[in-house]
Amino acid sequence: MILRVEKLNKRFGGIHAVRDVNLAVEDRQLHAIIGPNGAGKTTLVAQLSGQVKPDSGAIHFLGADITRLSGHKRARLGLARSFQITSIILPMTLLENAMLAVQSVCGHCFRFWSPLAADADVRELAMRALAEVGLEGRAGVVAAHAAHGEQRQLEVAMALALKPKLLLLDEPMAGLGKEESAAMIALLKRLKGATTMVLVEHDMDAVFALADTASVLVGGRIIATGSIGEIRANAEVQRAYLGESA
Amino acid sequence: MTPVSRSAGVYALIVVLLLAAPPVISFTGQAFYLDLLTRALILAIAVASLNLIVGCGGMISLGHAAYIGIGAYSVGIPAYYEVYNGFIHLGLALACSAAFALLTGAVCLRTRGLYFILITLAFSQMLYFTLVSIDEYGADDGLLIHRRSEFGGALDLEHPAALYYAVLAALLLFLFAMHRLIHARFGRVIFGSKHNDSRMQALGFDTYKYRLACYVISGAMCGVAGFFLGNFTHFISPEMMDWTRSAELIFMLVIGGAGALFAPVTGTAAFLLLEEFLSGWTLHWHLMFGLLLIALVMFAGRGGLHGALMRLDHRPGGPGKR
Repeated sequence: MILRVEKLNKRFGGIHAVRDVNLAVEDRQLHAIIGPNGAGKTTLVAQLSGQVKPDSGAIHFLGADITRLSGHKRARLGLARSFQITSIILPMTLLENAMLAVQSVCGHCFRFWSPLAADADVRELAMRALAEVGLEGRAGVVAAHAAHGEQRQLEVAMALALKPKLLLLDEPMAGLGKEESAAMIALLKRLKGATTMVLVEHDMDAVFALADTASVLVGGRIIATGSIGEIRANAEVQRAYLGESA
Repeated sequence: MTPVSRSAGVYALIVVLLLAAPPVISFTGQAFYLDLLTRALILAIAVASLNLIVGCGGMISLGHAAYIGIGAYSVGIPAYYEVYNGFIHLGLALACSAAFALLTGAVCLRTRGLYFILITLAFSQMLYFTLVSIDEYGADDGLLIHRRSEFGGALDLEHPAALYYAVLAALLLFLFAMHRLIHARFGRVIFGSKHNDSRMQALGFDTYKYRLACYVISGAMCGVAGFFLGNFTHFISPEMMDWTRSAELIFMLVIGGAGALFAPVTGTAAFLLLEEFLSGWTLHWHLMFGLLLIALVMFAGRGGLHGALMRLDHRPGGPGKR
């Protein structure tokens, strides 16, 4: 088991955003977290990646307790994430963005003198990460000028460049058109099996196409968890979530 | 002719002119202009150090003149005790400004934006009032420095041209070092953190540490400007680190074009020349000066003089504009 979450709680004033959440993610599986708007998905992701500290409960990653660990240390342990709102360095090219991710894994970033652009190893690894998401032909484009779908793919490439043990994807389909969505689903399908993933997603087609297992979050609580087939068949899930959106 | 080379050509020409200035000025007998240029280059070092945190790191400090003061007092206080060894002065300037940057930066960098600006301002004002209250070192009247820092026989700063070339050498060295730093791994992390800190953290960078290191480098560099300024004016006073001085540094940077490597040189020169000629022309020069500064910022746009030069290259917003 790669990720184990026990009785996680978070309150913001009177709002109990996450209540007694338990999660277990197995190696090389894709676990989806679904739920309607305001279900607490964002808060849960923020707690898993370290932006928000839980009030109580524990998060175990690769057997270590990371509940109180800062975000950048979790990333170093191999917990990479993508953001719901595209989060890249806009004035840099796609390649430069990917190179940042690569240099993070290579370490030694207190280097003040030699230009990064001349570092062939970093460049090579960054190109490979871009190639994995099909962006190798767009390496020289400034990120701000790239299409929205490309920016989302770049996010995945940057996360992949970290060689993560667990990839936390926060609504990777958000804002994507039909074709771009299909491309993203195809990309995640390719990655499946090699990388363990937690997919927080609104798009039910994507979830049913990709997930091995899923948990349903409603009102901060996990109301069902199981294989994707079980979730699809679960009457409570139908009522709470799938029925209303379908 | 490639697009970059036109603005690069202008900057190269400026360097050549700066190198040639002392003999030309001494030939024409206008010693005053060498003083003006020396002052401009000293302030350009300070503005360059500010550029490192503002332009590259997005950390807008309204307390950077504190480091000028620290550097100048590193000359003035030893001189008060008749210690004129330049290596001691320079060593003190570097060590004290780096230490002040480390201590205050450790607090400031916990915040961002407006809060960061205000805390840097508060720390510099604390230092200002501390020095105002120390009677031994002249309080608000300051101290005279009777002799400039001594570096043995090789370099005699009492000679105006020698001081000028020492300042110019330091400035060019700093600019070159900054150019290397910005494109090295360290600089990439700082630049990334300016534009998207949460992404950088998600990539595993402890951005606080990098930003703090950058802040300390900038402080130490500005301390060197203070070291030169104390020597140049033969005088130190708390007024050197008044917050309006810090604001002037920001103005010079904006005029030159924050983020551009050479902006500190053009921005400082433009600022001082305007100030000099307007004040010689009319008593009400402050009003004119203010209006001209507004016009300059508005018409040169966000990129300042550098931005205007880049437009000369027909590539607005190109990748060379950082």
